[in-house]
Amino acid sequence: MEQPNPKPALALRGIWKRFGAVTANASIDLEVHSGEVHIVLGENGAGKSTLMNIAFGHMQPDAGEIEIEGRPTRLTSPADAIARGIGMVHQHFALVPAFTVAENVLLGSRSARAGMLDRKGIVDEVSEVSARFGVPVDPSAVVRDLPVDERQRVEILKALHRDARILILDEPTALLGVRQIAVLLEIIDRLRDDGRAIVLVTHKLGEVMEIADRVSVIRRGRKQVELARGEFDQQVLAKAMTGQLIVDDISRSAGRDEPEVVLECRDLTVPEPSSGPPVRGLNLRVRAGEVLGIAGVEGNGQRALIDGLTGSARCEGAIRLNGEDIANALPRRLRRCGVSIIPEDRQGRGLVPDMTLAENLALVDLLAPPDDAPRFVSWRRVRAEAKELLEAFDVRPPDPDLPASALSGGNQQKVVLARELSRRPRLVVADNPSWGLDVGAIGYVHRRLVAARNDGAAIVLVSHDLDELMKLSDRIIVVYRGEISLESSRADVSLDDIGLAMAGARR
Amino acid sequence: MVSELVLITFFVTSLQLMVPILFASLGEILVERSGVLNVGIEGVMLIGAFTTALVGIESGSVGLALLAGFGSGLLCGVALSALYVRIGTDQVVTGLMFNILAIGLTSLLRDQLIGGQVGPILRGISVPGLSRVRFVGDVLAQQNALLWAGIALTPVVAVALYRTWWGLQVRAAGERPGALAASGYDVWRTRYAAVILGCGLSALGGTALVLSSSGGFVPNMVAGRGFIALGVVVLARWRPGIALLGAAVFGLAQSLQFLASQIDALAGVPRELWLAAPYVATIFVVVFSLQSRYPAAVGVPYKPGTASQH
Ligand SMILES: Nc1ncnc2c1ncn2[C@@H]1O[C@H](COP(=O)(O)OP(=O)(O)OP(=O)(O)O)[C@@H](O)[C@H]1O
Ligand SMILES: [Mg+2]
Repeated sequence: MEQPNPKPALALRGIWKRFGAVTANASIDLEVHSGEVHIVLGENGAGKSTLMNIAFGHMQPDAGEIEIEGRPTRLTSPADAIARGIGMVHQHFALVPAFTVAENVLLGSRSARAGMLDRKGIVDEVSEVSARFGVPVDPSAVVRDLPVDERQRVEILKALHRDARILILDEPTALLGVRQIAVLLEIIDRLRDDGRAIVLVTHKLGEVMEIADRVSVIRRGRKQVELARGEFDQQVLAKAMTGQLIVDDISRSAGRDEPEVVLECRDLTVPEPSSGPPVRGLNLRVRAGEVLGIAGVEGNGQRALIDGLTGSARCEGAIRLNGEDIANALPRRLRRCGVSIIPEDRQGRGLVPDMTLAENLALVDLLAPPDDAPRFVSWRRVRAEAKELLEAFDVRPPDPDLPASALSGGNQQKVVLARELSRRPRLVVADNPSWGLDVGAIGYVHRRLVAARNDGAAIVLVSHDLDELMKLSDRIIVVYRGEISLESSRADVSLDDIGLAMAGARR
Repeated sequence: MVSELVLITFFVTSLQLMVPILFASLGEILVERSGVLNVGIEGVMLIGAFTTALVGIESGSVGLALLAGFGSGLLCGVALSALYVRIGTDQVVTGLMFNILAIGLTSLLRDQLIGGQVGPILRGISVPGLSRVRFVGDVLAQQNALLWAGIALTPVVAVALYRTWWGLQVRAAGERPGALAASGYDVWRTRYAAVILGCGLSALGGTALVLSSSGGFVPNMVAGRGFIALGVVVLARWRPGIALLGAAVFGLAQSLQFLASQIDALAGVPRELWLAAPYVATIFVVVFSLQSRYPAAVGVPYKPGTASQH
């Protein structure tokens, strides 16, 4: 690795940013040199995205300075930042859903674009970039149709294609599986050797250990500590992030002898969900008080399975909930039968970003009210109940009148959990419930899910994160090309077995 | 049954009625693609029509009248984009107010400045080759340059939207302005350009009304054609080529009353029914195009610095 220049490529000095009563950034300093990876760690809501948005010109700081290559700079818009060689991968995608991958990538290209658009040319150009950086995407796919992890790759490619010298990545690994993370870290490693300056926001301590030259930890808008390689280990970082040591204390009660089957799928086929490849002829059972973990490389039918279970796609075959057929039932009926859904896309399906937390929490009950519900909504009561729930689920801030969009990702997920798990569900369908969350919040989500299990709920858990699956599941199945390639109780299966089954090997 | 002359007249009027709606729709497609809903289109057409008549009467030149109509549309676009884009007012309310203002203003100025005078109009031009074809030649012989300009403009708008980098920018502004900003573009500037140009085109719809009839201005002469154009745009799914078809259908619907009056068998049907035809058609079209999806950000003003809400 080359010696860093004396002048940092990007320096943020004394950055302040307030949103109403919330101080998102309080006098934060951050420097990154060329040929260096600087990792920013912090809990949900710590102020990381705010700082990155300021560095990319999305927002202006209330106070503080930005220097690029030692020169003081004002970034009044992303255009300024791009012109100065900064690229950003956004936490919440900044892609046009109606456009193709190629159009999205090239919309952001730095070279001035004018005149005619050469459709075939841009597809070829993007294929070339995608091959060069080893980031696989289908340039002519429409972004709207892509699963979240692939959208993330498009964002990464967009920044890489610009050849940015300073690269800001706001939680780029949140949605990626272990293998893809390894690929991304390799790419980042190469970019660093190439002399680029990289700021990487993450929650995953493992990544930090692997590639960080320098780590800054932010807590509640203030920088806690900055450590260079060799000065940190996972314990130190976790403590700096949360102010306490994380104890991994998930207590699962022993399963009952013969608990009843809550969910049973027979010959379940979801022929053509809009979300990706189909599943065919699936048989599975989940008992009360059991977590069924579903593993698989993205795009092997797990989306289709979830869409089928949650009534978002037409399916064939039988789905029985406590013996009652719920195949192709409307979401409203599913809700009434006690099905809770924790969607992957918390800003799209999980919450209505512009509505308040109280409204978001009440939404499900309003759309599928219990039979004895009063005809009119008492907002006073709803707000009081919401406040209680928000506090019980440790949402920060627990203010029922705040719009959901004002919360950090982790806190938004807690709101979804509060709504879905407080209703004593019989079946919970959880789709990557902890992506993008910090260690503290992940631990929280896990405890809540296990608590629901201990209370007798059947839980279907789809996750990219094998560690998560191994930790929470009682039984694990692996889907490959729309079929089950492995089914086993957790105790009898190793990570290697799962890895093989994900690649298509049958036992 | 119906004489050839009647049929020729029917198609001649249909094409004449189609042209204003075509220009208005093409302009509105540009505007909506960029994420703005211009309910004020009716007022823009009215101001375009009045300015055309005024300049025509004063100067005696068709060319100047046409340019003035277009120019007045651009100016309307400047004013409207300041409200819609920069200030971020409610687009429906602003548009409606603009229409009311335009009706009042043009009626007042007409009384003050031109009254019932008429100016020059565009003559029909003969198309080499086509003019000798039976029937078709007769219909087309009476069409002026604006018909051909509108038809030629349709693919130009389509190419601009789908085949140029500028079009990609405009569509991104209409779908996900936050993504456009994150890509380093100025969302406001993109929308200004689309709204101003779009209003210019829509105003040409008003110009066509004047230059294809008497050359004079009658209060409220646009008579809802702007609203019909709003419907055509939805029906056309924001595609210029389909808008051309849509405008033709509405042209035919509007001249039905003439055709009906010439057919004895239909003599019993009240005239008002035929007058209502284009509006009924609009409602039908909008109902049956329920599936069509507005550009995602239409009607939502963009505020920079709200990065979290792309
Ligand atoms: N546009 C906004 N308006 C109001 N408050 C905001 C806005 N953006 C962020 N905040 C608040 O600022 C604080 C910091 O948010 P930020 O998104 O920077 O957190 P983060 O560290 O990126 O969290 P996460 O890991 O969940 O993404 C949070 O309390 C959040 O609610
Ligand atoms: Mg963030």
